[in-house]
Amino acid sequence: MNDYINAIEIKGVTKKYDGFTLDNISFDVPRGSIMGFIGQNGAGKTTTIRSILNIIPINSGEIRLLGMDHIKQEMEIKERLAVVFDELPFHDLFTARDMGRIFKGLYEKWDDTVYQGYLDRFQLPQKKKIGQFSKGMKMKLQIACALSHHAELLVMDEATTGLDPVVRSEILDIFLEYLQDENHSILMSSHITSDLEKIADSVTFIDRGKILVSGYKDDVLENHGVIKCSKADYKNIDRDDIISARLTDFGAEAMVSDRAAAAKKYSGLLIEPTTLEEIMVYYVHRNMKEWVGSADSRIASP
Amino acid sequence: MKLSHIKALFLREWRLTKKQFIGFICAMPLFCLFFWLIRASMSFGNLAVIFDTEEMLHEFSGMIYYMSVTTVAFVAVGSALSDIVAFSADLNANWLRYSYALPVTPQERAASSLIMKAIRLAAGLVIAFVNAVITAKISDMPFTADMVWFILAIAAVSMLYDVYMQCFVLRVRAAGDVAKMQVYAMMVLMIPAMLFCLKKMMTDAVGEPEFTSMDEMIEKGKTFFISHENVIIPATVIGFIVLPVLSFLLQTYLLRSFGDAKETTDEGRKKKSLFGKKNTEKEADAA
Repeated sequence: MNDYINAIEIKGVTKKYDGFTLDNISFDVPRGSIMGFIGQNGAGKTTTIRSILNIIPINSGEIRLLGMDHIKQEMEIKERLAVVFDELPFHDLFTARDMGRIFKGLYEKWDDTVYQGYLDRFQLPQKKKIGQFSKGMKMKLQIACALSHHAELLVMDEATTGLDPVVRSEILDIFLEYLQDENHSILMSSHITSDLEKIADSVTFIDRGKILVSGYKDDVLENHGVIKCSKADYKNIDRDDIISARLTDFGAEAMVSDRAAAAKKYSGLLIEPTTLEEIMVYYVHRNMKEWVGSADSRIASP
Repeated sequence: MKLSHIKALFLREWRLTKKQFIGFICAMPLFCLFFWLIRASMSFGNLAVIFDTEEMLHEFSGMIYYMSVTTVAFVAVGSALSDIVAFSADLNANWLRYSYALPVTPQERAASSLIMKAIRLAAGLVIAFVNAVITAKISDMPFTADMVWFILAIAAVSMLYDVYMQCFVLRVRAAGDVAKMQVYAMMVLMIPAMLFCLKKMMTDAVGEPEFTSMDEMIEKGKTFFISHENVIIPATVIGFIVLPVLSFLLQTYLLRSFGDAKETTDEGRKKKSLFGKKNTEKEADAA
């Protein structure tokens, strides 16, 4: 039953739309880990998630979830998988109690006690219509429904977008609790990188339908760095060594994907650690190589 | 197919359409009452002044009877079968997309919908039959076996129309397109029919207008029905067997996947809607 190494395995998946292509993407989500799936709006995160869930058919490639083929064993997978979307997909006139009754019939392993526990913990009224819930309450209800059938894999598509910091923090704690079980895994798509920085074990960057970086978060953060220098020093940096560079009135900041190598090669320059957000921004501008950004207090003086 | 899944989906759909169904059950007697009051008025009320002869009263009683039976049967069965409101609501709430992440097969989805339709159809037929019996009594007309087959034939035609509409509406994946698709489906049906009528009017020889009494018209209709009974009755029976199966297969096929629907495919990226225009922001958000 649990004889799989990766909760999600995606190999060479291509999905073509009119004007957009998910281009031969591959990445794995190891069992018992949480992967942050990062990219700007329209990068292909939702298309990837829909492909994983077989909501849309893929053109080529292979997807395995919990060690099973995502098409041939679709129902077995979906029995052991939970999904949280950015918007609540339940009708406004239903109540939390109604949803409990419906899901009880849909999932073999639905656990009323767990569901009731989440409703109490989130202080969600059972008889109030969902239409009268706040956005935070709606998201909590969706999470309560997702986590009450002992799912092994949780797939989230922009689940924390639009929530206030308090609710977001509360929800992130729930996910960390969920991950206490080593059989549980999470794929969490978001463009709020600070959330992923807090909880993700690994990250995958996607942009314009292509995977740019995929690996353990600590390795990704360790390997990448920002060279902060004057414009004169920047002229001496080999363009092949950088992903892209932000130019301001005061200097330049260039992202490198191999910090150790860059530190050796450009020993006189300051190379600072970076964040997931910065990595995303620099990768998004990779085709331009150089881009003009607003002045940043951290940029080195000329 | 798992019974628990069908039951859960049915429960959801019932909860969603309960108010609409109760409203329909409450509104239908009022609709029936309209014809009963007209007939009562012809004997005892203001209309008695107009229908003052036995012959006129009998003629128009027949008309009221057949009008009542036909319209009530069409409205009751037609409204009962229509599940477009629930489908639109599912699209609006993003439930349809979400349901593909649940362990539910297209067959289970179609089966729950079919059971719901069967219950609503039964309710519609009960209303149609009760109305026919009461109107027959009030109008002093006989309620015969032909009338039973007539109502069942109307139900079969309504079921056929429902299957026809499904072919169009179940392809839609943006709530805003449902109404447009309904209009489109009706146009596809109406335009050839109108052209046929127009052609017939242009080519058929125009003779002297003939006076036809109400009695004669009703008699003609009855004669037509009786003379075609050997076609209408088997067709109705076949319709009652084949159309639910067809509806099930159609739903299973068209709802087998959310598919590359003509809706917003990703955050911020829009595709053209079914009718060529860009989806509205709201639809894009919903998608």
